[in-house]
Amino acid sequence: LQIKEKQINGVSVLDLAGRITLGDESNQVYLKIKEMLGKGASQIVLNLAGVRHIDSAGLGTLVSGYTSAQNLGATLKLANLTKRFRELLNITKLVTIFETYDNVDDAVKSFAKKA
Amino acid sequence: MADLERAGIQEQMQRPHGRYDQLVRAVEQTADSVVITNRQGVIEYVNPAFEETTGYSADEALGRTPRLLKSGLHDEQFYKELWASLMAGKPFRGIIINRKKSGQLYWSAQTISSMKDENGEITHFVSVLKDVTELRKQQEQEFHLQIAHEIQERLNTTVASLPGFDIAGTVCSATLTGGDYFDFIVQADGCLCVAIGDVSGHGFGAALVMAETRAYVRSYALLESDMGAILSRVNSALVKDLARGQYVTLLLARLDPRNRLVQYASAGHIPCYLLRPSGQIGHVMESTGPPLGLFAGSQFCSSPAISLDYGETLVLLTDGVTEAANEDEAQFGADRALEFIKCHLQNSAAELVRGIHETVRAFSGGGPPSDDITSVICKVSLAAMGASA
Repeated sequence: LQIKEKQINGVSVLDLAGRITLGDESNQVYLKIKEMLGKGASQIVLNLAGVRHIDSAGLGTLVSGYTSAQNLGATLKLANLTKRFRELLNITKLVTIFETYDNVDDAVKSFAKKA
Repeated sequence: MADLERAGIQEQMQRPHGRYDQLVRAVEQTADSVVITNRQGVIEYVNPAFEETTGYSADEALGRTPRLLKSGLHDEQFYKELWASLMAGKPFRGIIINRKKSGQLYWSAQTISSMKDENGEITHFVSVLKDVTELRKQQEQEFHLQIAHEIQERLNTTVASLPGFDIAGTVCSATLTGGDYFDFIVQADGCLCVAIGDVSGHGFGAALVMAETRAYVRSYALLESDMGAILSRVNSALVKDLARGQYVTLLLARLDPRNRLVQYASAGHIPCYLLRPSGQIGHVMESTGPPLGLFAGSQFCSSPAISLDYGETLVLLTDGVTEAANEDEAQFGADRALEFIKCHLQNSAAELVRGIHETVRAFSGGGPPSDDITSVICKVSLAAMGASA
């Protein structure tokens, strides 16, 4: 799994590429989110465009990241979900928890609207 | 030519120096530790493998006795018998726990034989030690996993008997222990609570969470009649215990045999189905809330009661069925499972769960499953319902 970090209009965007599955990959994502929160990031977008597969453990990790952000008053949003991952969010009803966007721009803009 | 070569080697072996050199090289280069002591047990030789395994150099070992490696974990009787056997000229073979120079204990498969002179008198002892610690650890792990597997097998062999219904379930774990489960619990009012669940992840950790979830569901199903209320209480309990990001998807269906009703609540579980007597989908049992263990405040509602007719079939699955993939990475999907049932509606529930499992395995090439495969079938059985009506 590759993670690239960038800033767009004060929003931290993490470009993820590869798989988010049980084990190292999931931990890597969680630790990165924690690191961003530690640095004071309050608006985070996970860009899942390059993510081929997310298993149940990967989904759990994203929820943990979401909860950690929320506990610190930060917000984590998702962009560029694959059809299968969107289905998984629908099935598990976690679609009601995450804010999801079709692309990174929309996700970034959504922060500006609220502010 | 080959014969000539062999004759040459034989000749070389028969020459005292040639054979001696070869034997020395063999002992020096073997991966097993070799120790030679005199009759009194004083070490006269150790090979390089001994130095590497035990951490003692030859200089440190020579002149001392093998007590150097004593772990203290064998009693005096053990050593007494060992020496009695050796002095009687019999070799000793066994597993001894030794201690390295670093203090670390290791398991050693050891053979000790006596060396005799031309008069048959014992002059030395040769000990060959093989470090079998890793093998031993692996065996122990497998042993414990096997016990866990057997316990889990017993948890998953629950059968249900409910007037007017033919019910069966099966789990096939991808590893020796798994995170899928199903259960049948008779409630105080005679209704049957059918559970099917899937713990995220696989293996031993998932199996422990599965056992915990099962225990909570069993307890709360006796206190609460409402499926949503049971899920809410199980969720509150699991939130405190589960590791970060771990969760359980769980569907509970309550079968009321008197009024022929089913009511369900589902925590993030994949859709399950009620099939009409024709095999067409009559109702999709969608998730009614998030998975268990993620959010402290999650509250779950039960579906409205759905009336059941003779010949209808409840099909409960886990994603090990729907997401089983073939060589082309196409997924088995719920459709194939439902089509199989539609084509075998006359079969018993037990035959159907077995058939689904076999069809899934065949679809994914017959190799070991990559996820736990679980299904529960509840048929509204015509004969029994007719008798009670």
